[in-house]
Amino acid sequence: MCAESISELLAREAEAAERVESEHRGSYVRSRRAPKDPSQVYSLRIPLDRLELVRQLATKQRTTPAALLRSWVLERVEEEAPAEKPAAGNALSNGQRRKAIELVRQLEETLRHSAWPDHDRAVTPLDLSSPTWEEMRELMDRSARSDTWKKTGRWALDQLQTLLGDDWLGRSWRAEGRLPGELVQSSGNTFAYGFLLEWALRLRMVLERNVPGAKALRKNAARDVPKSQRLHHGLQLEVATLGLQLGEKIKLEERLPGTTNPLDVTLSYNGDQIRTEVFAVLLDELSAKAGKQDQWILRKLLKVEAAHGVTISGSLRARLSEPELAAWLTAIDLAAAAAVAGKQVQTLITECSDVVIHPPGEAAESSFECPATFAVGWRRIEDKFREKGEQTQKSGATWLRADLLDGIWFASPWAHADLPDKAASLAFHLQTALSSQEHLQGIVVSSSACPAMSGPHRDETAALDDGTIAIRRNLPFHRVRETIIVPMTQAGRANAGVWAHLYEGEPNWLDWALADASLPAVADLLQVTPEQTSPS
Amino acid sequence: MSEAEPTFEGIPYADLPRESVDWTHRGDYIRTRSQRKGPNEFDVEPEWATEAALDPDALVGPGSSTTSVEVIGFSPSAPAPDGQTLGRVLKVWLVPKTHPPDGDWWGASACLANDQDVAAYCNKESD
Repeated sequence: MCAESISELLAREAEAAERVESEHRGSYVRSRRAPKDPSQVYSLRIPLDRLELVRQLATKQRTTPAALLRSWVLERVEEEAPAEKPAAGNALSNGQRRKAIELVRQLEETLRHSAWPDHDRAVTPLDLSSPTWEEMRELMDRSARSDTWKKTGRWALDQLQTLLGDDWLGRSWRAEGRLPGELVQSSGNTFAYGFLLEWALRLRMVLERNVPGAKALRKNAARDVPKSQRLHHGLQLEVATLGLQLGEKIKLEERLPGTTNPLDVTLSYNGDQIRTEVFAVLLDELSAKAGKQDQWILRKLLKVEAAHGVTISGSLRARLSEPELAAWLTAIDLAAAAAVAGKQVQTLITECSDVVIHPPGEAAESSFECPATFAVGWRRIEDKFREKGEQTQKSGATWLRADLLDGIWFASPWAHADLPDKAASLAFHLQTALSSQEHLQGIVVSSSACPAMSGPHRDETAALDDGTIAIRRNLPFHRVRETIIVPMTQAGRANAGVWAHLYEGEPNWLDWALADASLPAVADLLQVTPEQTSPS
Repeated sequence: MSEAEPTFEGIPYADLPRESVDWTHRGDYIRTRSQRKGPNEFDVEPEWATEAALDPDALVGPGSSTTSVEVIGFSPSAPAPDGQTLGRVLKVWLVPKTHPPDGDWWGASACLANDQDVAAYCNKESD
């Protein structure tokens, strides 16, 4: 069967499946046969000039090109994620599976009812396209929390409706198929309520205080509904309003002469301008560049092996710039030629690499390790920082401020290290990755304000010898944040303390902002009602 | 006398070998459902569909034509509506690469299982 007819057949099957998706044409039976080696087929596009090389290597190893490619990929996966093996696939117990299915059902149910309270009227699926602020307020009114909680929550919703616009909710829903959790769950969920209050208070504060650029930011926030942009505006507001608490002068969306992009936030402190670009790294963001440099290095080494018939092993321990890499590869090429001419093992030892080159015919294993990554996904983050660092040249920013929301802060071995070790490791990687971007004074990376699931954490501040500062602070509404400030230059080291001040002061920010808006304090909002304490 | 067991190309559905799924032709189709059917539709990554299709405890039955089978299985990696909790029951349509099937299948389509399918999957699982 040719590829085109397979494609057509599958399209016909899919069309028929869609047509009768809701019906079932026969009875299902439980499978009695478990897969032995469950796999998914991937198509790889291999350049023709490399394919011949793969064929030759496969012949040498008495295997097929496809099997060789598969083994290479699997070896690499093992290297990248040694702690995550085996890929569990469906290796869940029936109990775990039922629990997961039930959890998802509950979530769907919660979202359905949260977004569209049915009250006295039947809600048809048509209502799903137009959730309203009034429904959000009704939801808040139905909360089992205190009247103070509900009244302040309504205030926040009113503010957001005024500042973002009546149609923002509907547009958000249509763009993403769901509403932000800060809104939907804020009536009863402590974390979500904290985020809702901060969102409204911050937006109101920069406008009330006539922070330059605040109107432009409000306009952007009202226009942009996707989560990534919402997080971006949220970070701008976070930095700006933490700065206001310390009495700093703030500018938003400032355009410097001779630049093409606006600055996200500018903090003026003791005559210094801390010009900042903010961004969030999200879980679902894919990085096409991940591992690009390592793949490139391994391809080049393979080429040297093939050209000279030598076997190369060793490791590269640091990320090199492009010219450094080119010089390093030239040295390896020359050493390979020497190994062939002298029929002797050649060793190339540099500050950041150990390479051993065996002449043709000598039994040796070809293996090479590229610079270690301290957590799965780091390379992707590094690419993002590098990309953002380059972008700062268009705005004149000298600091990067990022929230890592891609899971690295809670689902990697790095995440479980002590705060000083975590900071040292992050600083090393950031300083290495961004060493060529000399205009950058420093980088501030944070976990974001995360739910403190297991109770309060230990507040901690750690200062490292290179000027890096790491801070952990518990925040109102049962949240916690870790912030790591990594200076890149002398000027950065001088200003790192300003960032430390901002984030050390964060635990008090919400009470300060609530008082500024003549609203009850956090402790009053969290007071339980008699109904909440009485036994059911 | 017991009822004859339903078969696909001579093999009882319960004994159909399932070893690999190839989404080369339909991967983009299942991951872009929301673009065709609206934002409420669940975009299925081929990896999730494969997990469901190769679930050892899957339900297997006749597909949308005599050339395909339908599989209801659990994907541990497919995300819940909150974007963080993992695990969904999916329905997947498969076409065999060889006749009779030897375990290698083409993926034709996939979507979230409906409530009835999920109930069937869970109830039988607890049997």
